[in-house]
Amino acid sequence: MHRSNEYISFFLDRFDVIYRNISIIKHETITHILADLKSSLEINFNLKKKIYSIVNELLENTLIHQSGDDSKVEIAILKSENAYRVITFNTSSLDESYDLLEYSSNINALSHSELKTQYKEKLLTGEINQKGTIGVGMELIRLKSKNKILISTEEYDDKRMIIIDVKIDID
Amino acid sequence: MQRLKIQPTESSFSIDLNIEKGEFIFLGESRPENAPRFFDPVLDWLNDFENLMINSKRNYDLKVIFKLDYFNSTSTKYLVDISKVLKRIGDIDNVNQTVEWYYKEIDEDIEESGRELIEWTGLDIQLIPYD
Repeated sequence: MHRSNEYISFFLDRFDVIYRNISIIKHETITHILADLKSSLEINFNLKKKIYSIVNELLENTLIHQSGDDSKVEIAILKSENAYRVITFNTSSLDESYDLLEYSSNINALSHSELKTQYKEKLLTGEINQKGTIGVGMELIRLKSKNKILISTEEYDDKRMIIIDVKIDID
Repeated sequence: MQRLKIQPTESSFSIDLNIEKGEFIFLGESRPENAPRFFDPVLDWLNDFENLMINSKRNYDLKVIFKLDYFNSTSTKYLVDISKVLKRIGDIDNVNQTVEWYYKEIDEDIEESGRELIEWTGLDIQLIPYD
């Protein structure tokens, strides 16, 4: 995807691309990408697990909000001296993209303790939605990354491209 | 009640709910493609077991073992729901239940999840680190 090259190039003076994959988004794709990460990321256990979890939640998110059965997702993992970035690019319908933007804006506006409370309440009292999920993926990503989720959407053919960018600082 | 045994896949737990042995075991990684399809039968089975124990007069020793590597956010919701049922089962007078939550000594994520389940559901869980 041309747009993803453009987006990633913005970081290349500070970050190296350590993983990149473009696939049709399916459950098997997620399994494949996670297996790649397990075998290729040689970093400390807890940081690796944090990245693994964020990658999985982001990819499951693209699976839920994809624009069609043959939608593609691109994932890139970038590394600098002090941080990692996990970035996903996928297409979605206009309505889905607005919902996701609104949801992420709300999540980003919460403090850590408010976020933790919302996460806990959804897990304790929430119901599984029509998509078969509890809908706390973004809360979990923010809790794990301890950073705001950068999300942008733009026109792409007759759909919307969604770019989600999560920075994970190396403690 | 029949034993419920679910074989693991790359993205779903191994589950063995064995009444005869008095042992319920949850192992592995969970991010199933269809979480309700995977977990609802497990919750149904546990609810039936709870009713069986409420109506039973005999004493029953139960050991529940969790030894998990990773679970996604939706699986966490189901683990909360499973813990709530286990809490009710453990509160039944004739049930002597122990719950063991194993985590790799270095695995902060799984250890924290065990602590959250204790805090959130009141389930009495022993946290057990291993190498």
